[in-house]
Amino acid sequence: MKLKLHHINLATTDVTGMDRFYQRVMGQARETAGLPVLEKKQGYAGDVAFTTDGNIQTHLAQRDVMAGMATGQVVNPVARGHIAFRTDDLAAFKAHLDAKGVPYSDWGNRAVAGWRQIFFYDPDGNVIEVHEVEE
Amino acid sequence: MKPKLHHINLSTDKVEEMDAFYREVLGLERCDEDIPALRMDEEVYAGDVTFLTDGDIHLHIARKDVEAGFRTGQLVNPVLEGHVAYRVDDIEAFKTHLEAEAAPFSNWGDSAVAGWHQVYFYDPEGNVIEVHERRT
Repeated sequence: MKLKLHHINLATTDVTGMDRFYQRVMGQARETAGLPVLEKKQGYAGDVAFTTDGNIQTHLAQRDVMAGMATGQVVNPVARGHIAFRTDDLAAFKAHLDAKGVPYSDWGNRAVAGWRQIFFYDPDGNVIEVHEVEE
Repeated sequence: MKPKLHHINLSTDKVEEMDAFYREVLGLERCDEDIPALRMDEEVYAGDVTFLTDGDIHLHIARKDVEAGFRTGQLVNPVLEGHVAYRVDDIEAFKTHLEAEAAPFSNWGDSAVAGWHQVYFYDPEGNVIEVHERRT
């Protein structure tokens, strides 16, 4: 159940400009492996560019302030971006959050085919994602 | 060397609560290796910071300091909204690269951290990015 940082998501109104910046200025490469397969018909249809420093991915996502309203989810991960960790046992992690009294939005696999995702807030309101890749 | 992610900095008024959250809820652990030797100079930045890790990437939970930019004369204040920090092995080459890309940066040098030479700049969305070279 131990968590490992997987990606940083930056929400933007200019995916192309951010993508160019992270490749040209920050020297990141286009990520082609292990990418989420976006479900575009279930509440979020924004463009996302994927880059990497070779270890941790950067996801540059079209800002969508209405994604929460469109899905009925309290936490909207594409309004202000998020920090994403990967677990190998999401069910155990959800039980852990329940035990700690931390509420979360359970997006299941509606945003990404093959990833089950939850989103919640840290005490400052930063959005945290924890996901498990489905076998 | 391409910049490699080193840490994420979250700047907050609730350092103790955030520290407890990331340890107890996210399971991150305290770390004492490869952490910045903060000078704690009240003319620069003397906030309390806790250092956590997932085993690879660090998380710095830092006391928010709205005045740090005015106090230092630096145009980018990395402890206002936090930042994402990358490491290079040649900061001078990276500064030359930024100048070639016409990306303005705030050169903190080693004024905040002994042995780390740091620059800060904005991405197109206004997120603060740190790039540093560790020289010790």
